[in-house]
Amino acid sequence: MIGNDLVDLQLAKEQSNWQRRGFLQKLFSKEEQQYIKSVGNPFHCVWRLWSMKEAAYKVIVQQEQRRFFSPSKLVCTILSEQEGEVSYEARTILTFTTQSNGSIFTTTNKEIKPWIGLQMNSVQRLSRFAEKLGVPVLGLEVRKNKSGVPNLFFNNQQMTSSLSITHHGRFEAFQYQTL
Amino acid sequence: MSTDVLFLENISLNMTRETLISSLKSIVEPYVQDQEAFENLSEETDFINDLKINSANLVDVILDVEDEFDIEIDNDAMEQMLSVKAALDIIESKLSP
Repeated sequence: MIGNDLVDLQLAKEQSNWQRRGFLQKLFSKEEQQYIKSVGNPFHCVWRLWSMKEAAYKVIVQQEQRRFFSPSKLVCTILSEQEGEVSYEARTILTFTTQSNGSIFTTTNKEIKPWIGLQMNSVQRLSRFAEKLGVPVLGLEVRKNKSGVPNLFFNNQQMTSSLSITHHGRFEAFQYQTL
Repeated sequence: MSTDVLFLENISLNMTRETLISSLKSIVEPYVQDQEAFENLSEETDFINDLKINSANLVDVILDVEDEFDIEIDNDAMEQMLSVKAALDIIESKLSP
């Protein structure tokens, strides 16, 4: 199972104010809040931690087939500039974060090379999937199940065991595992 | 109670619900990325799956709701606030005495 998340820092800065009253309390545990306030660049830290939670959340949704919004319960630990882990109930999910071009990208699976680029429309995205999978575009579709979990289907046959697409602002990224 | 009074009470409850929907629409609008879903907004509309609101903005929506209605939505109440209906139910429960 793969989960990933991309944050366009420019858009994040425009749309959200991490210092807004109540913002940190709704997203972060007390320890995380203290950590954010202790670092040199809290804005960057907020969005790195957020991307870790989102990436881990996407794995949990695939495993448990249920959706929820409890970011403060997905507790992050920073292990290094790129490595981290997210704890939720009994489980721990490792994360790997990279930054480029004013965006932060976190994934739970660093073995699978992500495609990262400019935001595409659904037709362009499908063409890109088709190209990578070596199948014609016609017949290829992204289908979401009841829990909103997407996978690629070609001529009604499921092609992927896990697919994670993330887009924010100018950029998007995806990773998948084939069946 | 007579049926007339119950009928009028029902109308006022529905109007309140509609007024709430209208306020909620204004609140989510800046974050919506699917105009068609927004125009067809109903109680069944899902913030993330239908309106394509980025989950990063869901906190902003919830904070805006708190400010607009002068209520407090704790993290437990927030956990299932993924659809219009869920939001309305939570707002109503926090507004009622």
